[in-house]
Amino acid sequence: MSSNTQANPEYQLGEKESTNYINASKGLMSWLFTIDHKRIGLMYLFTIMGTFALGGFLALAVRLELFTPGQTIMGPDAYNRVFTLHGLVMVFLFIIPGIPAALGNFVMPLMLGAKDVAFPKLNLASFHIYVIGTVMALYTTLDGGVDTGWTFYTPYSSTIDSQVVMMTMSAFVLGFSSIFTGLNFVVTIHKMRAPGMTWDRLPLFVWALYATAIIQVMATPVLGITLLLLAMERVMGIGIFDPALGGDPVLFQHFFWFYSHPAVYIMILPGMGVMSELITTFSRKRIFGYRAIALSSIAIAVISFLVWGHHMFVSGQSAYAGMVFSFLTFLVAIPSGIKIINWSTTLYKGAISLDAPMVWALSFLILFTIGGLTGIFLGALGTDIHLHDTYFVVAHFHYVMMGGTAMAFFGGMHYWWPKMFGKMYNEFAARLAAWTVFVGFNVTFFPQFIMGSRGMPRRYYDYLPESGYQIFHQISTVGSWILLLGMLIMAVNLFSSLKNGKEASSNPWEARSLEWLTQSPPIEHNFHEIPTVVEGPYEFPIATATATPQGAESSDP
Amino acid sequence: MSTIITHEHAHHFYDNEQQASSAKLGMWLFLVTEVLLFSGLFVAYTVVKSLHPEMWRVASSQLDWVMGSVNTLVLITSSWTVALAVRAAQTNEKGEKNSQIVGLLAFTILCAFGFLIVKYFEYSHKIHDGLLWGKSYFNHPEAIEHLKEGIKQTFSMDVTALSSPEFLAGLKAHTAAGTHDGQHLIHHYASTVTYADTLMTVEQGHLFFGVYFLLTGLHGIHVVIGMSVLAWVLVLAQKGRFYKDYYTPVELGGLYWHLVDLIWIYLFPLLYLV
Repeated sequence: MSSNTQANPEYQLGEKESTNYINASKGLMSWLFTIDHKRIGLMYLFTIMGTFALGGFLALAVRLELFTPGQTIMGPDAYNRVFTLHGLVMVFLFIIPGIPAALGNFVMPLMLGAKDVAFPKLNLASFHIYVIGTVMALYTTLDGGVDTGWTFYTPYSSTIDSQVVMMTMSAFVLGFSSIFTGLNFVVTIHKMRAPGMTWDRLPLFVWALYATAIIQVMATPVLGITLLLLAMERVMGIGIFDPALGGDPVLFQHFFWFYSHPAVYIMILPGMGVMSELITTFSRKRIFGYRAIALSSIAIAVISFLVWGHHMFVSGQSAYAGMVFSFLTFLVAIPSGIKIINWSTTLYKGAISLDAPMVWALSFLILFTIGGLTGIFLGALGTDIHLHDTYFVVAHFHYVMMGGTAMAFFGGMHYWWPKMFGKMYNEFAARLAAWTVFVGFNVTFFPQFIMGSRGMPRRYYDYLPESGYQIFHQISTVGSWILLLGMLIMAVNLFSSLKNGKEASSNPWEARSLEWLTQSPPIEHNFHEIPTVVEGPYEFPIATATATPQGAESSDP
Repeated sequence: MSTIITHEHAHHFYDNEQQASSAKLGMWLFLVTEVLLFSGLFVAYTVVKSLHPEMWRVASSQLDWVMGSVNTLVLITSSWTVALAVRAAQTNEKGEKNSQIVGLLAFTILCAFGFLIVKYFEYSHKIHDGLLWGKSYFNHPEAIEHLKEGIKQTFSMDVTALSSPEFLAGLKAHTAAGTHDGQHLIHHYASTVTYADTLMTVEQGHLFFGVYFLLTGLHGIHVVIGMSVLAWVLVLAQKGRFYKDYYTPVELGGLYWHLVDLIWIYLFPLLYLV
């Protein structure tokens, strides 16, 4: 690309070139075997939209079944398979890869001022492995599916007659994809930063991805070996988890949650990173407590490894262990609270504009706060005995996972959509979608807190007509239809923007991180020259001055 | 790009140094994931051992510590030669032949072969004696006999008389039913609780061998992967690729091989000597 600059000395930054990463090469193979992080990010994005739609329709089926007592649309066996698959698809195929692999892959190297991630081929391999794992999971589903719940608890999962081995191997394969992405990101953030991009000038999204990647690298191998042991238990009858053979089924739960609790932070931390970007950009105000937010991500990553036992308060682990785990669980509230308070303080006296990404961000702020506070109920030993395995838990983690991560994912998608495709979507429709989803979400999940606290158990296929749960189930199901409507508005709006959208400028939101320096959509190698960074990402100029990115491309470093 | 491409580094790096240090960091992180993969099995080892300490003692005495020691020596030697290969690459001048690296890597791979051959003999011995995992263990009456012999040697007790298959079956049925009879039966036939424990020991020996085969099997797979990696580095060395400014593959292959070695250094005492 340098020849381009030299051949044309009048070349100026901001002038749009006709070639970009999307049209630089053509044909299916140029996409499937690309090593460009931006193209890989887009392929993840579209795959993940597909898996989200699949998981969403399964959720709609679950809600519809619960509309009336008794059989509504499917029998109990089908129901068990559908909710299991909903959990597996949403966890392993949507939320975990969602923000890091799709948005992170696209944006993170740009934010660093790098030309690519450290290991582009490994990045492509991660994507291919992800697709293989997805195909395995879908094949298993068509082949009968599993009804163990996404947690695969033994001895049920090691003894029943279903496709557990294939499904666990699918999650095992997906784990490798996650490990490789995490490893790639850690190295990229350490080694690929542009000159002047010191650690305290990194955008907070990058900090969040860094914390996420560390958990991915350190927790996922344990899931790998756990699932391998479960498969061995079924294939070879090892007996480590089988009490009849002298093993210990609770050991499986320890193993499983040693991964899966840190994994919920793999899910939420990148969402928190997106939040930091959105809140500052649309408040046009320097983020409050940069260092506190950055380090609280790391603190969450560290504490996340020490709290897994809070999933097992009623599984027969020692009461003293329960007390320790409960205490450590409360510790997580501190860094999470730090973030919430810093974001709120950033909003204070900011010049807030309610563009679509900001609407998603504010939804996150409200919903995640509710989700986080209800988590404290569950982390307390006494209340957990009452609330364990009820709809209260279901509502809690949906408020955190969907109200948190998914909202941040959609917010981030709207925020970076102009950068990815060079097109603006219809702003009104985008806001309408965000508000509709916000309303639909609360209508769906708030009643679940109430019926959970009244004792409706999670995962049950049925409830008695005289139990009084029906009205809550019905409100919840109607809410799921509102959610569907919001999602449809969003999908139609985004996809039609690809065709009919206005051209986007290189920096439509007047944001300051480096991805807004290059044109929209970016050129193949991101930048003509490696940019030099001169200040932090959130130093917004006062009053009406135009905000520009935190660094500039220099022709000769 | 303004930099003229004369170096070997990929387009997205500034220079060789950035590329080499990235690759090294990536490898170290990968080694972390490997250690954590094995850590799950080490936890399984610890939990099962603490649940059935007497069984563990008897069952682990069935392993051949001589073969284990030989293998340990073989692996430590190979770790030394691979370290020498890295050193040879670091001191090579540009354009010089890589014959020393090739020789040292070939010797390392030979050691790995030796390790696998010893392992093959150990495995076939265990398979012959029926000292296997879960279901396969129970399908081998000889396995039970072997462990009884082990109990005799470890605890100086003879268990042949009362641990007939009928007795074991009866005991199992009663304990499975959860009746008091199960406890009665144990006390009726065995004067001490230790004796009942030893019977349980025989029954649960499969857990030790399950863990043994999982740990050594997963390690064995890593030995094979390590051999393939080193073989690939050897092919590059034969082409004379490495010199003091470019030896990343030798170093990374060496790192991986050290890890394979290190895991064995833990496995050997935990399985053979404890």
